[in-house]
Amino acid sequence: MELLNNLFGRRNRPTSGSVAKQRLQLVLVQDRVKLPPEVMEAIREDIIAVISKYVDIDQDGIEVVITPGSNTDRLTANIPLRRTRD
Amino acid sequence: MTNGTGPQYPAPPGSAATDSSFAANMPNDPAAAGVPAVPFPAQKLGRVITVTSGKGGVGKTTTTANLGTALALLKQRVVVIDADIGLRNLDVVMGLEKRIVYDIVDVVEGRCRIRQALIKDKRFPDLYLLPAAQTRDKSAVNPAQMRLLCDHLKTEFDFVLVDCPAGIEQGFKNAIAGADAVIIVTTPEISAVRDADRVIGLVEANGLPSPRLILNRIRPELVRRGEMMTQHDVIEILAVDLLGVVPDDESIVISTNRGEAAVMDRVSRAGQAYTNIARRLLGEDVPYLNLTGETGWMDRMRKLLGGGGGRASR
Repeated sequence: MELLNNLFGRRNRPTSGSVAKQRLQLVLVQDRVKLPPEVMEAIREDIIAVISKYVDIDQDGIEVVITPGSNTDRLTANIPLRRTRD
Repeated sequence: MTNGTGPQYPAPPGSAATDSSFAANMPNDPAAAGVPAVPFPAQKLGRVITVTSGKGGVGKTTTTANLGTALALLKQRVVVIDADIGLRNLDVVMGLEKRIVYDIVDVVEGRCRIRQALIKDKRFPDLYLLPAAQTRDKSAVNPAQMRLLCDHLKTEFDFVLVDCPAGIEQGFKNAIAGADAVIIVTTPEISAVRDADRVIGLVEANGLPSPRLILNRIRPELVRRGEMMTQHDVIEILAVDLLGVVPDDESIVISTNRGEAAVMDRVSRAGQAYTNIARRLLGEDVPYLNLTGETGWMDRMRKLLGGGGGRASR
């Protein structure tokens, strides 16, 4: 949504300075934690395996990211559940 | 570190001629008595400060030359070392390229005494350059030799400034080997700040105190329009102390063309910024140049409100 806003609503485009800062913060979180992409992928696979034993999850919608916090960075997994009607 | 040649220099007086280690060729060696020029005063306990950045082209050499010159103008006894072996440049930036005879590799390999390799900048009372070798590579010097060299020089000088090569490989390891403190130079660009972050990590991993930052080539007009990261942004991201902010200034191009430091040009804004940084290194509390008209929270409010409203005056 934000992406669409950026594409179409040029008025509300954030300044490039703040974009740079945001991009930098994200890339540094990755750099600092020193978790290479293949490790992140392995974590993701393992989370899927564990959670799917108990609930039906939307595997494509899973997001595993490191997010910067004020004191500590956190590993955040966002796992969408599949709705089942019974 | 207080008297004579110190424990690191076990070579007895007079053994210099046969000793392959440069340590025996240090200026206190009586064998060097016949060498004219450079007068070395009583023992000092100076500081070794390495100027580094990770990324190339952000202004390390310009910063080293200007801080060295500014400190010399402030009556400090200064030596600047070009640690970029194979790609030497500090000599041309300082306008001393025609006077090189020996270089740092000659010193560590014992072909000359330190004082023979030091080039005195005659425009100032106490400014010297130890040039890099141009025809060798980074492996010609190792960190232990560099530490020995720095440890010795700081007994003779108030400031030993080391101009580090770009990168994080051997040249970087050499350059920080003898450092007491590190200055990181960066520009407000994503790539430069990212590299600076990595280098800060490496410096701290080496047991050195947290580096201080010089933010170089700030363009006030771009910052005012929000199209360049501010010094607050960069400091927040890197979480280090700010040592100074240097504006992007054409006087740097001009002074470098002439082989003069910008700090010699009284109207140069960048030169002024470097002089301020030199004074901060001496412990003075010098306010930052107001480059962007930023007024702290007021400025942030204005940004929040969509960048409208009046502009703070310079």
